[in-house]
Amino acid sequence: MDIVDEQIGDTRVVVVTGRLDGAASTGFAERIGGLVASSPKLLVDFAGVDFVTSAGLRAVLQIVKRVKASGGAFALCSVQAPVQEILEISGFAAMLRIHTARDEALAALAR
Amino acid sequence: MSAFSASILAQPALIADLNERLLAFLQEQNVDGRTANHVALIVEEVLTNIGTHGRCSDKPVRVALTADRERVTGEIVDSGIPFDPRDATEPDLAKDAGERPVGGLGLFLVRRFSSALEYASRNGENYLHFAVARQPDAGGR
Repeated sequence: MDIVDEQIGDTRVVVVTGRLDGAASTGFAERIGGLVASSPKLLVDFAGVDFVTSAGLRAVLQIVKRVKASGGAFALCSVQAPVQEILEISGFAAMLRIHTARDEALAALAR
Repeated sequence: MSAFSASILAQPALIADLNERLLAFLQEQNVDGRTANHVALIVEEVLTNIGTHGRCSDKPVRVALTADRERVTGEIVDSGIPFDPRDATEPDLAKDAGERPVGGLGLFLVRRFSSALEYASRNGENYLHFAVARQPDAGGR
């Protein structure tokens, strides 16, 4: 899994590429969770993620809980169909802010 | 009918490697990408459970798959703590992020994506059989 982050306006955008499975989820949670303190607005771009497991969902939820505890905002964007299916079945789609495209997500987070 | 088989330790990096090989096999069989992803997800979730809750990360687990025109069927055999995944507690999917417990989704996803799921414990081994129905009118990956 490859994770690259950049600051766009007041939002930290994290671009993730690869499979978010049991082998990758701990690194994902630590890397992105570590950004919460310095970046109250987090946007995770899932355009490059084609597979997610329950370990990946667990990592996403851990990050969202940290963001909520710190009073910040969290969103996902550009989610591929196989991952969107898992997010919907698990109830995560109803729980998270998910945007079709990055620009749309950045505009929503800027409000 | 073509078959895939492997014997691995239920550890995250090894499970990821297995899934790469398994997906390559399913692609060779022209199994559509959605079905292949569901099979990979089931294998990953079951093996992860065997390695953690089953306390069996140090003994080989046997994984076998076959693909035919209607479905992909799989068998996973381990010697960990006996547990029927059909008995796992249903998660509450309606809670918001603040209230929702972390975890508990793995076996829920296994049940959700299996068109058939059977379990038996025999002679100190756990036998899990599953099937994933192939998606109608779907092409290759």
